[in-house]
Amino acid sequence: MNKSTRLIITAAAMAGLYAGSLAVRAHAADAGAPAAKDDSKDKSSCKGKDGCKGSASCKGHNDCKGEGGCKTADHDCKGKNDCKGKGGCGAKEMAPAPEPKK
Amino acid sequence: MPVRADSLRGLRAFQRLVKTAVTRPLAPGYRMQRRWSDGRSMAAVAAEFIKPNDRLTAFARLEIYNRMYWFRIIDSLHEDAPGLRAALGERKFSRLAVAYLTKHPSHSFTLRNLASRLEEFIRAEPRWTAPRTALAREIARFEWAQTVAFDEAARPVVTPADFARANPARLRLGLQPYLSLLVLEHPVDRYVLAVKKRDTLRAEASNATPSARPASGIRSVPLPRRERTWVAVHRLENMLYYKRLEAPAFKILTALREGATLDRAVAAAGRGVTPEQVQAWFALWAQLGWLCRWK
Repeated sequence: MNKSTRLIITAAAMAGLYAGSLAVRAHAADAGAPAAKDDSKDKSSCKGKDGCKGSASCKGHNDCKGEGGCKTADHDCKGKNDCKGKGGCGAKEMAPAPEPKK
Repeated sequence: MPVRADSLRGLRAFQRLVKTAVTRPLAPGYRMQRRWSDGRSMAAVAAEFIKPNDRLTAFARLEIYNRMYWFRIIDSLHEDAPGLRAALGERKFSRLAVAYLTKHPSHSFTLRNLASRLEEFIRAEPRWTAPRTALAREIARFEWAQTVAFDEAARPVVTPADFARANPARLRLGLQPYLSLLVLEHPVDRYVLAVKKRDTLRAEASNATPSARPASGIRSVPLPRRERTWVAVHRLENMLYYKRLEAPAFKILTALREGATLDRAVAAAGRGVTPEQVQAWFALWAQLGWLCRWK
């Protein structure tokens, strides 16, 4: 990659970074509720409840597994017919990444 | 001679003794070993610190906890590795799990970390996974990346204020700690997803508890063929995702993670990338929240 190409590509990266960051800010402004509030609510909702692993309320919150919420809770899930297959035990753990709306 | 815990020192020694007895590897048949580490009868050792009752001997009472410990950690590993189980088969996976957990017992307060060295163990002791060691290593890496994506910390994402006036030759961007970048020789992402879908279908097809025997009509998932794949495992809005990456995009992200400045990172993509591609990649990564301030 020569110097001028590299300059153009770098400028493109900066432009993309700028556009993406602004999109995130716009999305956050639309969403309204502060993230910290959701965090605390979701963390407490995770602890000790069946179906913690794989549920939207639990995933992504630090301290969830580490505080005994998931690993100590998910044995309640095993072997229960109504749990697996509904996304409770990890059936929805993974999915192709969505493309954010532009 | 009975074990006494009547001082801090004695209590510490007692705790270590109980911990050692409870976490000691099981004998074949998932029973407690009959001999202690010094060759004494385990029944005699157990009687030194466990009281029998009218139904159970000291050995039997201790064995409950010894088995319970192992069943719990094996179960935990089992749950974290559906893809590896499918690729190796249940029996082989169980042997691998016991060998791994014997060599790398849990040292963490959380079972979350249990599989953190599984890939390293498979590499060091390929006999447990032969002849599918290469695939097993990749699946172990991929499944560990899911654990990381699940609950690793998130750092504040970059905002325009962080880079508005920055010189690209000096600007460094961090990647979220929960984001794993994997270059794989097999399309393990699709394989694991197919396994999970099949397992879900099996669970829905039967009222029985999960079993190793496939439900009739539900096929096993074919093993993946070799195909180089670049994957990011991450989370978005508290859900886990994987995302296929193009090789140049992967190189840029890897360079950023290693601390390259922005202009050097984009140069790592090599020839053939267009400004439009790079712009779209960075816009997407910023939107997904992957980019954060350099530490």
